[in-house]
Amino acid sequence: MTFSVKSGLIVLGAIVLCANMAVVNAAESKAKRDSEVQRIDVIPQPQRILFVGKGFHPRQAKVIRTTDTAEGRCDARLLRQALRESHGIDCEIVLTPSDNDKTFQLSLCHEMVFGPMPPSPVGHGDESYALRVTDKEVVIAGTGSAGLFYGVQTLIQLIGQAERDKCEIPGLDISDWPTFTIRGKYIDSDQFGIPLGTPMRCTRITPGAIQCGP
Amino acid sequence: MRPLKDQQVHFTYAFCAEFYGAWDVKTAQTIAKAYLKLDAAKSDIESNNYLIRDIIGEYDIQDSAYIDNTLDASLVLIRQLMDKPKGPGKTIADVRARAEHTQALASDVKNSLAALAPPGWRG
Repeated sequence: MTFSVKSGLIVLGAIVLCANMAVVNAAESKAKRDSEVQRIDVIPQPQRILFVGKGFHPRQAKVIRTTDTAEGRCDARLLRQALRESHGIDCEIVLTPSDNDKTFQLSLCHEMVFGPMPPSPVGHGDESYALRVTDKEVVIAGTGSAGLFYGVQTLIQLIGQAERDKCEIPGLDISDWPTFTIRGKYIDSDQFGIPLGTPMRCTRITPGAIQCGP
Repeated sequence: MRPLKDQQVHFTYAFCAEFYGAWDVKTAQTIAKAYLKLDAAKSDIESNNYLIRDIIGEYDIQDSAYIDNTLDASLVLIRQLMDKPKGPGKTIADVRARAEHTQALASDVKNSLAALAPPGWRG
């Protein structure tokens, strides 16, 4: 009798253990599936990525709004060019007066209705930015002109991913800043022929100095 | 910091997609697979270089930057390795096996990349 009770307890324990493992495995599988589905093909990967709400269809983009500064105009032109190449659409660039030289913002919208800017990351220097994607617009706020530029490079990569995956840019809240103050890439042009466009392409994915060797 | 092993495959995919301007997922994946395979093969070739020096690089480009890296010196090392193998993975047979494996792999990669090209394209 005692033996039967013990056996029963062992069997029950094994069942509970198996059930727990199944739950854990299911949770791990779901987490894995979610991370596989919700990935962004951006390099370097931003420091913080939060998937939220509905996404933005780049094909419906009509307006790029930025502050009327040299950096803002340059970033807007880069974004317009990227949209032209990837989706074949031309966006209108709308310049808003700059209240002061410390405003580094840009938005990509379906229409001339602009939402609030995300708060840019605090305490990470002038190269940080925040990027928010909703179903109506993509907004970028940089803490400096470099931060805005890097935010636009991230958006350009997200647009490229949307075109490859034939889908929208997912709803996102990104905060990003460089891990290292000094960054660079060395291109060994001595051993390998480097096409002229290579350094230009590198600027999108390697924010920092580029040197062609030897 | 992010562990390399958790990042490398996705990073390689994202890099290939962006850097080469891949126009669809299949293209980006094929280029990324080529990168990962060739990266492993490069490690094999470097093992060979360690044993008999960069004989192919020397033969191909005659680069003055390769100090004391001459074809004659490589042939001497090959002779020494034939006479006295240095242990597991460090024999002439191992060098040859790695070279032949890399050759076959490079051929596969070349074919898979060529299959992506649009009709009439000459690379």
